[in-house]
Amino acid sequence: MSGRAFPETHWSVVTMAARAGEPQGESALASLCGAYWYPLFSHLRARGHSRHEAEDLLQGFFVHLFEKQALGRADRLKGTFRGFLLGCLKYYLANQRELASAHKRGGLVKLVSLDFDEAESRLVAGHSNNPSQDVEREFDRQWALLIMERSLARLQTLHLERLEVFHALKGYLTASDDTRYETVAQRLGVTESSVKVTVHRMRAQFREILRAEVAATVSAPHEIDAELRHLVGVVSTETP
Amino acid sequence: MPHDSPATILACARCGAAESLAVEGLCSQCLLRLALPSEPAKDKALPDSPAPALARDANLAG
Repeated sequence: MSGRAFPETHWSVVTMAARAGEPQGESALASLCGAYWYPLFSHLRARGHSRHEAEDLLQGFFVHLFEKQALGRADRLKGTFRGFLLGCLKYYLANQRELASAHKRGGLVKLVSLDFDEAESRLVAGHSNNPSQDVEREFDRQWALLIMERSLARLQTLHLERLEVFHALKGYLTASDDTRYETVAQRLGVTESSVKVTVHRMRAQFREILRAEVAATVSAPHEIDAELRHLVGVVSTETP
Repeated sequence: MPHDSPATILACARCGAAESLAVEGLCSQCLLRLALPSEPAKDKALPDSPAPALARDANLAG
């Protein structure tokens, strides 16, 4: 994997295809929506909708989203996929009565797989994590968490052959500089130096993966750092 | 372990944030900052010459 290469799929493809009126952006959009729909569900629930209302709204929203008129709005294609999704959802909710007919016309959208049981379980589990009272900030916060979870999952796939080592050392990705590794080294039956090298390598891999994950949700490479800094801000529970 | 428990961060050992969110027991702010080039992770603990250690424990890194 190269973290330097800007991904040729995902949000940049969607925006370019939409502007050119080409159809291939749809599969890239479906892929992105399939990966990042949970923050939308969480957002709807945070706005007070019941689980079943949120399910109906989300399914109707995706039908609306995949209609050409939603993607064809060039002004919505500027910036991040995160901003696009939330902006489109707010538009959909504000015009719900008018746009609900699209849901009836299109039936349930098949392009995006939605596991609402898993989403609800995740939502309940997340309640212990001090959710923000600001529903838009909470959307961004859930987005940030999902990006990191996906990145950690991808990091794990690089260490499938030695999962016990990965799980033993994963907790050291954010360890302080003066962390000692004697205990874990003894447990793994290796030297402390070897543990340090492996942790260093895991950090470098995670850095590349996380940047690639964020790169897939922004329009241009120069937006990656700004998006990362925005996400750092929203995961803090301090008032902005 | 760097943090007090897998689920809750009382205070991150790296940044000191007391209220940061936990992602699989890790400080979310520090995880995100790992990817920022302007704030690279400082690996002072790295050995000067990792090659001998790698050779001895080649099976560790996988």
